[in-house]
Amino acid sequence: MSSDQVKQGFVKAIPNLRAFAVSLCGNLERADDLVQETMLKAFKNIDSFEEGTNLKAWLFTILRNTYFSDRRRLKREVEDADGIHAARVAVHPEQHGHMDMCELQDALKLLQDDQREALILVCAAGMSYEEAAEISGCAVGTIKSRVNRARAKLSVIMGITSAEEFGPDAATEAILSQSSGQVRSF
Amino acid sequence: MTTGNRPPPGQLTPKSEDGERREGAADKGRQKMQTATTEFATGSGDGEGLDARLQAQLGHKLKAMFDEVANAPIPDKFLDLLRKLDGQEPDQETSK
Repeated sequence: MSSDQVKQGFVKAIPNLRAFAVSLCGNLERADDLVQETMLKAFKNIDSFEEGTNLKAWLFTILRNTYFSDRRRLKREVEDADGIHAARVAVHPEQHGHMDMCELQDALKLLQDDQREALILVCAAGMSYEEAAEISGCAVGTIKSRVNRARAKLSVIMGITSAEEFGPDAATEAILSQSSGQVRSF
Repeated sequence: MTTGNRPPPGQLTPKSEDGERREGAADKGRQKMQTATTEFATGSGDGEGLDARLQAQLGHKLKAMFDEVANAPIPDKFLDLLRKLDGQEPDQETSK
């Protein structure tokens, strides 16, 4: 395939790749490193891209594979960081009812990796279930159930922070007990 | 706590009684929370009431988070990298 076409496809995909990476890792600087690594790998392996197939999905796949293999390597540090994020979400009862981007990023980190990825692909990046399944390398039904579980969990996290009826103590307690279960399962 | 630590009836120290009352209240709160969690987690589809409102809010926030970055201009470093990787003529179509 012509290098011009590939190049154009890459350029077009960069904004979405960055947004996907930020949503996954919650940090723009790290996200840009991921995008850069993705582009390097894509160029190196351009022969394995089948012309006529979905270039964006192919690039997304490289990016998520890069992210998850880095993440496995750094598992211990990541668990610590997630613990800090969990505590940060939990110890700010005065913010309940208000959910800004930072809190959403923190809340996303409380989800299991596979559920967070599915939620981002389908609900944030606007991918179809089929595309998301292709990128994540799993069945369409698996993506659907991951999205549902991720939605349910996020709404619990957001719901508790905004549901005044439970009071800050109960909310904090619930988030802590929930998030400790989540984080351990990484 | 174990029943062995329980003070014998009639020997009520205010501290221990207070402690038990607090613990009872916490248990109740936990129970209530678990019920709510179960409802959210197993809720039929997108649910209703608070749940539906949160789902809508959630979808909105996720999209906004994504679009904020997706709509940002491409940093030059990526275009430079592409040019380098490509090693060919400068790409005019990428200058936005």
